[in-house]
Amino acid sequence: MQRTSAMIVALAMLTLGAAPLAKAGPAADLKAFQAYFQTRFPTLALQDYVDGPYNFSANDRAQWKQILEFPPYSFAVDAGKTAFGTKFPDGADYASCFPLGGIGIAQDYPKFDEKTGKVVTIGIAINECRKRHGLKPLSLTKGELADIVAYMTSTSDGKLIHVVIPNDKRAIAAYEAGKEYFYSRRGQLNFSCASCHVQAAGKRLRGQYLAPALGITASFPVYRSKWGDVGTLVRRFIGCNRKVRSVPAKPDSAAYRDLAYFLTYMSNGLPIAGPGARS
Amino acid sequence: MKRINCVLVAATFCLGVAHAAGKDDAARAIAAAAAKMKTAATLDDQWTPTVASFKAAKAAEATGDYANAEATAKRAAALAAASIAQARSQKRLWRNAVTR
Repeated sequence: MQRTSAMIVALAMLTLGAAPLAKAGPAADLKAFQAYFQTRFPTLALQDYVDGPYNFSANDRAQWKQILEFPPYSFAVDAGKTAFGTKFPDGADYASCFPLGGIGIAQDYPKFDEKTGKVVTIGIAINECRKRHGLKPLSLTKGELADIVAYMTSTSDGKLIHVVIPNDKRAIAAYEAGKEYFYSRRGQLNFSCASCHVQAAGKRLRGQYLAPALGITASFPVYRSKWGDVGTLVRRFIGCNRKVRSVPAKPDSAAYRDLAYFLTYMSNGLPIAGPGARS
Repeated sequence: MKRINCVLVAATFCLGVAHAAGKDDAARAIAAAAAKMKTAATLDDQWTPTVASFKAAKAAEATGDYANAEATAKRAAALAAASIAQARSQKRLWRNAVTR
């Protein structure tokens, strides 16, 4: 009898323990994710996270501020504005493909497309627009598309990130797949995204401070001194994958779409600070 | 003199057999590596050194360096096996890293 009671109690405790995991969804994840960083770096306000690695070194921050006096991404924004305003051969333009003419909407991306059941990043939305009007898609990593994203993002500067995960099984599945990708170790070096941007956030990796995952998407696209031009979030994903000796996914793959969905959702409530500049 | 000729013929025959065996061994090793890499790719966890080793094995095979081809193909297979193990274990383990 005593043994049976003990087993029932143990089973009940196990069930109670498993309950938070079973109930964990995007909203609970978001709360836990932001609380984790706020507990770890109590002196940082939520909006400070958009400054990424420059929260952890006064020297690096001072240099970064000097760089921002003449923002290196401004050429990309100008080129993007011109490309954005150029009419397609059929007379349409990018503005016709987006709500509000594409102005001040970057904070809502990535979005879940109920028709296709896929996550759509702002870059993919631009390419879909081109395809609808008979044009070839652009590279999702750099060049003209990155310039257009830079311009569109600049029109959302300061707006709060507002990624929505609708109550749709496919959207939840995409979010969960992105979450799994983020926390899964891969590559010969056995690193996950979280290894650097959660567990080692704020610490040095060689000469650089690692940016926390919270707020990391807010500055994209970014001008990286290493690149010498502006690149998209996907370009960074590819670079990170290669660094840990993992073969990157395709730029428009479900893996990167879902990763962007999860990661950007984790920064909901933080202001857009892009395009940005990084070393 | 006749004896020396026999020895030479035998040696040439042995070398030919060894050469053929090296070619077959290399081809087998490359095929085995390719199969493992296919599994790794299915699991979305291919490593760049695996691909590099495999390319090196194919290049060595093309130039007739079968010993090198076999060795690098076996290295590619070993790396692919490690990435498969990683991907399969991470299917379970990633949850431990989630912030709570």
